[in-house]
Amino acid sequence: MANREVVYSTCKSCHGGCGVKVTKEDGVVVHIEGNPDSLTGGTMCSKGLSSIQHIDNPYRLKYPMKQVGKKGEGKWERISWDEALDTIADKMKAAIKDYGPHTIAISQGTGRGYNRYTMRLARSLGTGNAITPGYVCHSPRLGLYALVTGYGRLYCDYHGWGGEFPKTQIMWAKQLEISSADSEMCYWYMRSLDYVKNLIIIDPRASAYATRANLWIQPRPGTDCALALGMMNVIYEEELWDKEFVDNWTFGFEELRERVKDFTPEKVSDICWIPKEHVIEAARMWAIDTPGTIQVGSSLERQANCGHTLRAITCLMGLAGNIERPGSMVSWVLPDTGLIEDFNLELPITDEMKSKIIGGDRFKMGATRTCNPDTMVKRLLAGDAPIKVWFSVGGQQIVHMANTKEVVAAIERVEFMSHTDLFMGPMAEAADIVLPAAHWLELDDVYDMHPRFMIEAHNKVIEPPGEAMSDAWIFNEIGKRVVPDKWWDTVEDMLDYQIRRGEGPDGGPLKWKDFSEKLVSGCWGPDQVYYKYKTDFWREGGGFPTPSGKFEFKSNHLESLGYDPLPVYAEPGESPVSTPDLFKEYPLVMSSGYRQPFYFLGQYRNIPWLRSFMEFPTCQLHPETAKLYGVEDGDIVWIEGPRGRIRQKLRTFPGIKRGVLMATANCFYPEEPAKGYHGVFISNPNVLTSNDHLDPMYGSPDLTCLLCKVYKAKDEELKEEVFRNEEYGFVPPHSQEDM
Amino acid sequence: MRWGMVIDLAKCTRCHACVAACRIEHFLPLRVTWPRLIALETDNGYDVDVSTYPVRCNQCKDAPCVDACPTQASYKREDGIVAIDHDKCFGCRYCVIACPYQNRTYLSRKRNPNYFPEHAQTRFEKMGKKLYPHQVGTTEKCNFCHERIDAGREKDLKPGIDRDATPACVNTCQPRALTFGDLDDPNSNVSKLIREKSGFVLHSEYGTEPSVYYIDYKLGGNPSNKAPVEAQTGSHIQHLSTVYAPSKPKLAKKNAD
Amino acid sequence: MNARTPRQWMVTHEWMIKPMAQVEWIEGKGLLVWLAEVFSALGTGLYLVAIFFSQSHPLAAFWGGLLGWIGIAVFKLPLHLAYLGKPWRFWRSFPPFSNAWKTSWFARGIVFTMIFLGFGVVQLVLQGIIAYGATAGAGVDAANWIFMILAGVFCVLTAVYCGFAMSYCKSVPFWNTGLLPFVFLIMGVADGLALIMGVGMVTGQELIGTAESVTRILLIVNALLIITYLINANYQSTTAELSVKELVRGHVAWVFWLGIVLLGILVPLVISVVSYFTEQEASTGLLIFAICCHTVGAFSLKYGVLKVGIYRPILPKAHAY
Ligand SMILES: Nc1nc2c(c(=O)[nH]1)N[C@H]1C(S)=C(S)[C@@H](COP(=O)(O)OP(=O)(O)OC[C@H]3O[C@@H](n4cnc5c(=O)[nH]c(N)nc54)[C@H](O)[C@@H]3O)O[C@H]1N2
Ligand SMILES: Nc1nc2c(c(=O)[nH]1)N[C@H]1C(S)=C(S)[C@@H](COP(=O)(O)OP(=O)(O)OC[C@H]3O[C@@H](n4cnc5c(=O)[nH]c(N)nc54)[C@H](O)[C@@H]3O)O[C@H]1N2
Ligand code: SF4
Ligand code: SF4
Ligand code: SF4
Ligand code: SF4
Ligand code: SF4
Ligand SMILES: [Mo]
Repeated sequence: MANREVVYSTCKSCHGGCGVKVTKEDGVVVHIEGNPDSLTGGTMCSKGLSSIQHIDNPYRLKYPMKQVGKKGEGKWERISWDEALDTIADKMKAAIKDYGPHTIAISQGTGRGYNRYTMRLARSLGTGNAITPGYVCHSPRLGLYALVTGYGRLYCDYHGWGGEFPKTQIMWAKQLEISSADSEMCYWYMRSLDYVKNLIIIDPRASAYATRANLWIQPRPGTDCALALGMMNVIYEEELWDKEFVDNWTFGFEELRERVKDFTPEKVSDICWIPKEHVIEAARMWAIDTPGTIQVGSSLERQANCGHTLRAITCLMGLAGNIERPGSMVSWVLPDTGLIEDFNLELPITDEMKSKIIGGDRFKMGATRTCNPDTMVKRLLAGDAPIKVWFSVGGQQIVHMANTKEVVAAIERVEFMSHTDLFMGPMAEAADIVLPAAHWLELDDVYDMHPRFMIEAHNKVIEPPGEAMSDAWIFNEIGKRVVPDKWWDTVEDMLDYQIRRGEGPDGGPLKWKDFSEKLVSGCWGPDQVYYKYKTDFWREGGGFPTPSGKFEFKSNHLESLGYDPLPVYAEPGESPVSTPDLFKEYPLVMSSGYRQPFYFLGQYRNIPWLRSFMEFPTCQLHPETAKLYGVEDGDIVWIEGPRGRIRQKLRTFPGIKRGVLMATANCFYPEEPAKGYHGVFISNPNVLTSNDHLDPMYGSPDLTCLLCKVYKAKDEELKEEVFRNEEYGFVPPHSQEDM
Repeated sequence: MRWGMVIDLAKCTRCHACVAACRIEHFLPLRVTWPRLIALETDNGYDVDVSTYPVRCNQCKDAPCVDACPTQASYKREDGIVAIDHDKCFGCRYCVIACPYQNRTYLSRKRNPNYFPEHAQTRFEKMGKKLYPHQVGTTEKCNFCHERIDAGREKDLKPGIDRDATPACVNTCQPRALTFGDLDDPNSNVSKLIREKSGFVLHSEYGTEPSVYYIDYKLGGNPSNKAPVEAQTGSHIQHLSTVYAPSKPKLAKKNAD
Repeated sequence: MNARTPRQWMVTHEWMIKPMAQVEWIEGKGLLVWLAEVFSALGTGLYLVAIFFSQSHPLAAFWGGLLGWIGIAVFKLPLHLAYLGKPWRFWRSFPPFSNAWKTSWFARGIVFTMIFLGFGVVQLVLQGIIAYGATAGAGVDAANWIFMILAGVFCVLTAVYCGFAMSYCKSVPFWNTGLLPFVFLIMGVADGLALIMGVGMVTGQELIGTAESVTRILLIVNALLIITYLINANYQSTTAELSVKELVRGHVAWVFWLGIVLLGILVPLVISVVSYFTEQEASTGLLIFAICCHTVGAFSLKYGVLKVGIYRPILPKAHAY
């Protein structure tokens, strides 16, 4: 009789969070499905399910290795863990001694459940120069929520714990149904749609629900701030605001009225290229049919006017009183294990550290706890070597940052870099040492869920391949070697520490062993608290934890930092309006991103099951726009902008705004050779993006609103291996059996 | 009893999870997929429609594939599922061509390389050869996960209600766009959906009487946003909240500190 | 993932939105189906013509019949079996192992073929006795006639079943018409006539005149039938119309115009019409040429029809169709 075993765990094939049930037979994973007894009801997406082809992937990194050729040559030699870790630790110690801890950078990509390790390592070493994509993803949102409400973590209440579901829902530059686990789990959102009266989608491109929604607004990319100001204008004009909330709990109401006066629906219609009726309709639905939620997408944060866009949207929430009401924007009460970030927040960023943060002098909202990566690139290129040692975990800065050419050149100048990953990717090729990381099925760790009302457990199901180790272990080992007093003997000790505030079965501190069995620690149903500002929760006698104690339409703090205290609209750095001459040569507005359900940013093009769904990075154009520029569905096209050109496959898509091109982002080709960093210049839209025009508050570049033109690639221009797959050709088969 | 599926076109997000789930459930060879997604994207000048039609074998009541099969390897079960006996199939592909919905795939050697064609089989594949052997040279299709249904019914579970008796794709679908149940029972979840949301089948003019129905409608417009008691109390998840429950009421206070 | 790793095998947007040509029965191993079908047409055509039109020339009847029978037994059937994914399971389609013949044209086809081969072998033995045996008596003749009819009936069924099998497919509107089996049958008989002239040339028997005059008629009938078939398909459905377009103007148009129209119909027709008007028998070279053309025509017709078998899209609403 075969030996069957079921293990429950938590998936993080994306940001993570779905409960998972894994079945093993004779020690082999033979089945993965959702854990029905979890907050995601037993559902899972294709990425998590396809983990089966991840854990056994022959291209996995299995051993620590060191670069024996030049960076980017792909010549590697296996070394021992001790040699790898000691080398890295020695480099760090030397850098601290010779140049100061701020010359060490600790970097990660998007959140993979290890943010707190990255930040703790940085802080324990004494450097504020953590590098994360946060400034184009989530940080501006959280920062502005914090600025306006005093509390950074506003989430959409899709749960009904307070008795109501949102009556009006806005998906603003967001496709939560695909980019699940980003803020909220898509499962919750889609379930709440059974109660929604108005579903408003604000997206130049039809996301899955756009054509089924009550209202679908297609703004020109990069102009969302104007739309938010216009909606507020309507709310003021028609006196639709929430009187009770505004009168008692807000600050700067009249100043805001003054500010949005100009933004009439007519004007907004001109700026955003939308019918003015859409502005009015959206404003009415939002302000009349309350409670409501706005799910903000990071497309808005990948724009150099993101600070004010998000500020305007946050004000919109306050005007309609959609704060802390059941079914509106809520900051959740934490589970009894507390805020997971306390693990790093407990080590403060000193003023000394702050003063050495790269870009901190310029981006006073963004570069306060992490550095501004684009400024770092510029300084590396200028030769002033602000970073001597770069410890990189996950994350493909080469792929995900603006202006790939400069990023590559800058990273090649870093004296010493290590990279931890599951696969050889562009960042690994640029490193001196690579460390093999374990997959989530191969490790024990605490997982923090975005909305912060719960944490979950990753339970080790199988052994990692070769000598791969969990990220937690790797962080701890480096920490131990350089700053031993801030780290632990074993990973289990460290995990125990992170959840110690929870209550264990014996009434004492919660231990990892018990937590791992229970899987979840959370707070919901009647345990959640709404209307916190009406109680002493944040402030004695009620109010928001802001300087004024109110919801701040106007921010004096912002003014003191030298920014406009009220939201203000700015055109993108490159647009039909701001650069009309460029627009003549590059007549299309380009946006990039639009997450694919089966890829996670740069990941999974080496997972056959997932690659099967979309072989090439694909861009979308309206069929009529395509006709105008002489390109056809299925063509491999050049997308060209002022800084370069890339090739993607064209899909004509009637769901996209005419005159807009949407390109898949974060793409490299794992199968392309090390030279050229696995084809990072072939299709990656960041070859086209600019790191010169940045948001004044957050330093975010324009990744989702640029100009471009498009034309068909000639056959002889498709020489790379990816296009020359002789066996099947790059022309898609016209039928399934064509293979 | 006739098992059927209702697919909600308003809710499907084209996420491909059903495809992945089916691949795992049946250890599908690398280049075989039983369910598929079809994109319908139209713009007639004033109205844009972006839809995804998940398709899989319709388990037709009057199944051309069964009639066409020269070996009776394709047959109809009592419960309406059209199944294939892979020990009988001799791989003539007549059914592949005769199925008007293109839901059958002939498993050729080309379709069955290792998952990483230039590398050894993964552990999962090796185990699959044992647990769910596929026969190269025969024809395959979605079987409504009848292995799950049969095993579940043996344990008295209800297909469409109990997970262990319900198709894998239905279980994994995040927006719950797939509903499974008994078409012969007028009070079943599927029969109700078909009635209330005017379910339709693909190519009804073929007269095949599919057991897979589609529904489509506009989202929004729901009459009430009041949460049912279950949602308010979170009763379905209460047992998960906090690891050990004794001192729960202190929670809010503790966080406030 | 290595560059040579084949990757793209399922893309949402490309699948069954647009009409797609079937490939199972024409590409790769599917070519065997085509060849089998051609041999089926040629073999049955030759056999029928040989035994029914050439009884006055026993040698030609025997050799023609034998060649026809061989076409089926040695080419058609094995080719068909070779196409199967599990050839050694072929017996599974016969009664009593399966009752599939009740519904399946394919199963019927295999049964017809086997029965035809059985009766055919007996008939050919009798025919051989008649052709070569000095002692052929009335009994043999009578028996031959009985088996001629029996084998003939199943030969016709063998000739038409493939057309019926195809016309059963609702999935492919171009095939989904009752005309198809007759197009195949007539073309097969016309081919048989051409071949029997060849046989006659070898056996030295005077068949050409009769064969030619029948061929002439059949070629004209067949041309008309094909035209009717195409026009009919053109109006039947958008997808069938597309098949016609693909056949007449698409990437297999050369097969249609060169193979079917020119070589398969026009050239043989011209040759026989010319010989009719000049009242002179065509030269041996010309005849051989005409026979070859005919045969090419037979290959082309099946190829073209199989190749442009286009599936109706699953979503009738999809934008293109
Ligand atoms: N033009 C354009 N640029 C963009 C965006 C855009 O929309 N358009 N999006 C931006 C946004 S929002 C973000 S967040 C960034 C994201 O950019 P990144 O986070 O850099 O994304 P990836 O390219 O997926 O890199 C993740 C790497 O981490 C590895 N990895 C995955 N899981 C683990 C793990 O558990 N441990 C370790 N050690 N490694 C792991 C993967 O193998 C991969 O190499 O890109 C940004 N860049
Ligand atoms: N499956 C999957 N899930 C993911 C990821 C992934 O790669 N794959 N990535 C994760 C990460 S790191 C992040 S940051 C999130 C991002 O998740 P989302 O915020 O949902 O990001 P996108 O899908 O890039 O963009 C959302 C929508 O913004 C639209 N858009 C683009 N430009 C504009 C604009 O200027 N204005 C407006 N109004 N809309 C615009 C696009 O058309 C797109 O539909 O997803 C996370 N989840
Ligand atoms: S949504 Fe994220 S956590 Fe859930 S299954 Fe997919 S990859 Fe895993
Ligand atoms: S899993 Fe559900 S939502 Fe995803 S593609 Fe399948 S049916 Fe659609
Ligand atoms: S959909 Fe096709 S394969 Fe399925 S039962 Fe109907 S005809 Fe047969
Ligand atoms: S391929 Fe198999 S199942 Fe299909 S018709 Fe032939 S014998 Fe029957
Ligand atoms: S019902 Fe089962 S076999 Fe059919 S598509 Fe769904 S998972 Fe696959
Ligand atoms: Mo992100």
